[in-house]
Amino acid sequence: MKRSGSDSRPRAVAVALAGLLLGLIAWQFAGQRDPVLLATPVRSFEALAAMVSDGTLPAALLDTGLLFLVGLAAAIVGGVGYGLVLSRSKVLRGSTGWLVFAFQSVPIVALAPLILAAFGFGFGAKTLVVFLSAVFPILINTVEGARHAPKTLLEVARVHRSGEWPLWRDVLIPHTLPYAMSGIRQGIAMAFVGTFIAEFFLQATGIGGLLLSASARFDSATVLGLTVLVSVIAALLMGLGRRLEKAFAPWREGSTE
Amino acid sequence: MSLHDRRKATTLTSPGRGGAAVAIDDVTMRFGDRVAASGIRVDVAPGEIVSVVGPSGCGKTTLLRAVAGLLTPSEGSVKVDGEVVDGTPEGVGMVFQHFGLFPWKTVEANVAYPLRLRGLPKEEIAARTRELIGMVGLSGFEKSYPHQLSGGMQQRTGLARALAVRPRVLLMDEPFGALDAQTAEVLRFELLRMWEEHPITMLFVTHSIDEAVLFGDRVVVLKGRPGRVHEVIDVALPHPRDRAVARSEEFAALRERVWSLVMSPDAGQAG
Ligand SMILES: Nc1ncnc2c1ncn2[C@@H]1O[C@H](COP(=O)(O)OP(=O)(O)OP(=O)(O)O)[C@@H](O)[C@H]1O
Ligand SMILES: [Mg+2]
Repeated sequence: MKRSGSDSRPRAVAVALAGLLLGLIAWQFAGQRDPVLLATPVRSFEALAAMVSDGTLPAALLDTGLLFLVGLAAAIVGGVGYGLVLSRSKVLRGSTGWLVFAFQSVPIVALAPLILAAFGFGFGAKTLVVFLSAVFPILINTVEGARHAPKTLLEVARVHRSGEWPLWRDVLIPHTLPYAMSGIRQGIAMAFVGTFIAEFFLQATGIGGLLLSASARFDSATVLGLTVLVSVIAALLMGLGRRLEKAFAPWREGSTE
Repeated sequence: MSLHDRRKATTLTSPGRGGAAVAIDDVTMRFGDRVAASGIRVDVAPGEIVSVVGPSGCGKTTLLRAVAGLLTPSEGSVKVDGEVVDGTPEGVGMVFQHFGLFPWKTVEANVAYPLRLRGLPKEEIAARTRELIGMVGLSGFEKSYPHQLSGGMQQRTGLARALAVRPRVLLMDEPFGALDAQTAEVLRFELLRMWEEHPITMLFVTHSIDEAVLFGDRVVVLKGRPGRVHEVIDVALPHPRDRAVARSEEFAALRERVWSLVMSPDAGQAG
């Protein structure tokens, strides 16, 4: 498993870089033909550089980053925590389980105006949008994982007269963690989308705010520059999510061989 | 020592043997309408090994789970050292057919599991764990995860974990059933050797008639569905039960006897 990892890695990176380069060249040519609708990469880069030097981009990144992190953290704590509780309690599952599945299918975009009306325009309301976007995949994956804890292992715990807390520590949590992690990986993507929904709908702040105002000015250089920046960040986050998923299940390493 | 010398075989309840008495008293096990075992009565003396054989589905596992306190008898009672079993009693260890190891724990952590649950001091856990791992021949594999081990090594880990609590009673549910023949054979004699050093009570469920005779001081043959006690056979073979014993004529005769009982028409899956 180690060998295949270190062998395929550089090649994958090289392919990705080559693709990126080709894309940039194509974009540059296209931009030179129609400079009004489509700015060239060079001009987009200049626009970004200008926003870095006047401090607007770092401030916006911080804003957006904070919103994303707080919302995601709340979704992880709430999703994993409630998921574990739900898996052990028939009563809660019966009374709130259907709500979870009903809620999960409601698009957050549709809820955004409601949340705005109920909670105002502040950081709290925006965090709630991010939270709601990310919490369901985390919650549902956690419940699925925890409910399928192997019967034998639960029996092993009982034979050893395990209490409820050690049962969680030794069996339920370690078994559920990989499931929760894949929920969290999906949650990261959803939180990312949710962050922009919040910034677009509730109050134009952060990167989303910059994007909105630039597109209102028909400043295609800034819009494209920010879009590329956002995609790169999204790609990095997905990579991080996948890493996390692996890091939390060392016992699974090589279990597919 | 001659195999005809049965003195050792008659020392069943001698003070040399440790362990608890297990009394299965007229136990009937039901799952809803389905009766899994009916009117089972087996008394196991301290330090005795009782093997249980019988056709698939006759309730062997169910019976073992009742002794482990994982199931409550629908009728009758199970007592360990005179106390009615309600939840797994202290000092009852269990070895599972499919090992029952925590895949997220290393060998060391799996073996230390019962000791950690007891809240023993760290140094004591470490020392005892090292000793147990050495005893089952797994030194050097402390940091391995179960998926990195062979089946035999996994069951050695399971055995070490069961022995960690210094059990008075060891419950075995086809402990070698998931292993290849050769590995199972090696582990059988190792377990027997360990037992000779620390004789404790054992209830040994198996599909292998050889194994039942090799281990048992007595062999309980169950029959039918629901399972009932068909016959109890005394195995007056000498100790230690080693390869020489397994090659003896007495052994062969007993095996034939158990075989014919297991295979007799009214012991099969009639009905
Ligand atoms: N949890 C359960 N719920 C309902 N029925 C069960 C349950 N566990 C066992 N049974 C039934 O009880 C009977 C005895 O099962 P048990 O597993 O004890 O048999 P066994 O003798 O161990 O068989 P095998 O040799 O195949 O392991 C079977 O008919 C089985 O279907
Ligand atoms: Mg069974």
